Amino acid sequence: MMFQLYLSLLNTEEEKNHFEQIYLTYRNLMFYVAKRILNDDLLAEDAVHNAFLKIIDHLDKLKDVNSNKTKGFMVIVVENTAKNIYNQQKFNKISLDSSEMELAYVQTFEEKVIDKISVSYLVEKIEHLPDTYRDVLMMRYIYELSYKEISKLLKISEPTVRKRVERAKQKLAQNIGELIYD
Amino acid sequence: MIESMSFDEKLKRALYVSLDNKLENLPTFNELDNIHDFSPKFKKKINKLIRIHNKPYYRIINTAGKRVALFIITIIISLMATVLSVEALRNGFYNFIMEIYEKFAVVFVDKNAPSQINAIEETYYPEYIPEGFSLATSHQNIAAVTQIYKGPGNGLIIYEQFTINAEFSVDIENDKYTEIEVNGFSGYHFYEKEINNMIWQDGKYVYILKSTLGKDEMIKIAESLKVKTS
Repeated sequence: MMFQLYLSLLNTEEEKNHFEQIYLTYRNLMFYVAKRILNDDLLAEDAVHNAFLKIIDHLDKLKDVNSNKTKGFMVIVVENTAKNIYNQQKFNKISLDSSEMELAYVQTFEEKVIDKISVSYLVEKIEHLPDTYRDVLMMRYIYELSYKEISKLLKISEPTVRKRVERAKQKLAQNIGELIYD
Repeated sequence: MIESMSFDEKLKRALYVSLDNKLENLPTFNELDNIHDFSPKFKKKINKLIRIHNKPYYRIINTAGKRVALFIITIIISLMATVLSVEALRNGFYNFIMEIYEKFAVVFVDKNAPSQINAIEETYYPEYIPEGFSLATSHQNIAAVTQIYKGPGNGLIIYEQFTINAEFSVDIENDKYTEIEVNGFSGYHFYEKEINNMIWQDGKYVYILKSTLGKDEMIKIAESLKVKTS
């Protein structure tokens, strides 16, 4: 099977150029996003390069170079990469893991709560979530990435990704539920 | 009004809207046109990435986890050529520098090597190809030649010739290799489960052979290289 794959990839010039097109389209935007976090040209370049190393594994999800879906992916990945670099620089690791461990959560609750509200209201609540939560939800629901894929992109463990997704949904449900059930 | 859709659909739609909102707050591409002049170091790294990605069999070496594992072992492979028939070699030995990542190796010639060339001047092709194999694809550009032969079952031979200053990747499953000798020029053979990799250089060009065949048969193919006369 491996060999057929080798052969099937021989004439995909379009695909070969795909990565380059993505790079040329988004390098400046990614630099801008990374620098906004790191406030340093060289560190921002590192973030852009590291982000491309991650993105290259997910080109199949970025078929339309100019779509908002692709643009969003580039932004989310470089943002998180830059934040990782920032945290490394500050020796200040994100402490979410421990707080996420405290969760005891019944998943059906948030589904019931979210079912009761409109999309537009949900958007508003999503935008009040911390980036950390919003990003994992987007990766999971928009880009349909597995927990494992998300863990590699964000450089966090797979259990942490799972907990972060749960936590994000719980947070949403809490915010919405307060209004509905109070 | 409460839309009637599943939890997942509703959340997905809301996330799409939220993503669009987030992107709307960013500057336009035009506004970012001259935001930064990327450093030469960055350009070099990204060009390397693009070149590696543009390899036709990139995806094979790029399964999850391979690229992100950036532990690099740099080993210097001295070219112990016993036949100094190529002019470039008379100026001294070249070194291969190989960066071994988790599952692939990037190989390039020592930048201190003298008299590097940028384009292929003589094209070499194997005269010996085992019975049952036939040429499936052949292409050439200024700095690389690639030929792929298909054989019985899943039989495969990939032959490549690069200019000596090219950078290229070799997909490997482990870092076990043995030294080989091809017409007096030394190189390396990487043991793999399905595809064996062989790499050697003659001071002017670097050659790579990948195949389902065994090492001895691959050496026979490698030793049969002849300049193509048109």
